[in-house]
Amino acid sequence: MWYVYFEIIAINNLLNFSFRPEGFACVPYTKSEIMTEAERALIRNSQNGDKGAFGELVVRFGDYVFSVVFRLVNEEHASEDIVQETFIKAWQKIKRYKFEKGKFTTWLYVIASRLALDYLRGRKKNVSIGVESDIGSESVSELETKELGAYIRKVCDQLSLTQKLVFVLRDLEELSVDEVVKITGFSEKKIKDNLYVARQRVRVRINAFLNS
Amino acid sequence: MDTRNKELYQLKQNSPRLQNKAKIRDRVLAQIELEDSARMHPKQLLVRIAASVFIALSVASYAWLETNTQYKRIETLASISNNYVPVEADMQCQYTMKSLITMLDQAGLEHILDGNTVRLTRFDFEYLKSNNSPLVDEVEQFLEALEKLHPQQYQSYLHGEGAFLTVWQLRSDQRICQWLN
Repeated sequence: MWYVYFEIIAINNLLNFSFRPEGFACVPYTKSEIMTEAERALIRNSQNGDKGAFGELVVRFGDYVFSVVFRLVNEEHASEDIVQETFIKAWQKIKRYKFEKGKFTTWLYVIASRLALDYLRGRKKNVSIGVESDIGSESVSELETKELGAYIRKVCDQLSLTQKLVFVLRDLEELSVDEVVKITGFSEKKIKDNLYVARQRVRVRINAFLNS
Repeated sequence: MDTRNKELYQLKQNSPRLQNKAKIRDRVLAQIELEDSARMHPKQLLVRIAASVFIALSVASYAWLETNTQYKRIETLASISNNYVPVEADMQCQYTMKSLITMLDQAGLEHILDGNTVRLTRFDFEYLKSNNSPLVDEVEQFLEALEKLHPQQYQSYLHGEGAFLTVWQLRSDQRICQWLN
């Protein structure tokens, strides 16, 4: 449930037009900001074929990857499978990773987000009717009985893949625009445009829910 | 930091997490092991192909060496025992011989080529000499070659029976052409 609460707060920020409130930038949020020397050593050892070191990297960075993937995919088991696949691909390509080109987490997010998007594309093909029609047909009062967190996740599912990806990375994972550019390969303008639309859509839905 | 930011910070620390990291790690490592062992297969295949090529080349080299050695052996033995094994004439040689036979034919010795056999008698040579044919020198050279290379045929020529050489002999005997040239 903790991630549901977090998302409520994140959406609350969104409704108040304040994604990064003043003072938040000063919070020592170390999620993916600092790479320790030990982590560098683990990466180097992994590049030299040390599977034990790579296993340690899986333990250290598994949560970061899972966080992004889960927010995109919204299915626990599928997310775990994607995390596993992400690390397998990371192992295959780890020799190509260069410290000077960016953070290791950003590099992992690139792999993870692509796999998650592939999964979502596949899932879209398998689901005949979109989620929007489900929510649209339900009254707000009906939704009151359901978890708000689930509703927020459903709202996110209504976004296009691009909007969802940008929204999750930028607003939920709070990555910088530069990082989002690196991960998605989109231009800054495209990211901002999609983020704007995503925020608007989420805001409208959440407002409707809260006002009810 | 106000209360709200503190709360937000606390919540940020509690973003979605893996329930069992060790399980994921073990699954990842197991899959990596599996893929590594699978990746060994193409390597082994490559080694096998390389080994096959090496063996094929070795067999071919051995066969060639054996054949060549055997050929040289026969040639050496033939030269010792005066049984010459002819070396196949090249195209230029064959052309020279064919040209000589054609010219002899045109000079009035229509019978010189009988089927696949060239038959030259002393009367033919006398005929050419009596007509002051420009081919006399070449036929003399041919007779000299015949004396050296096919003494039995030369003896037959001297005794008036004529020298019989098959077209195959002329085509395959490089030495006659070398003599003529």
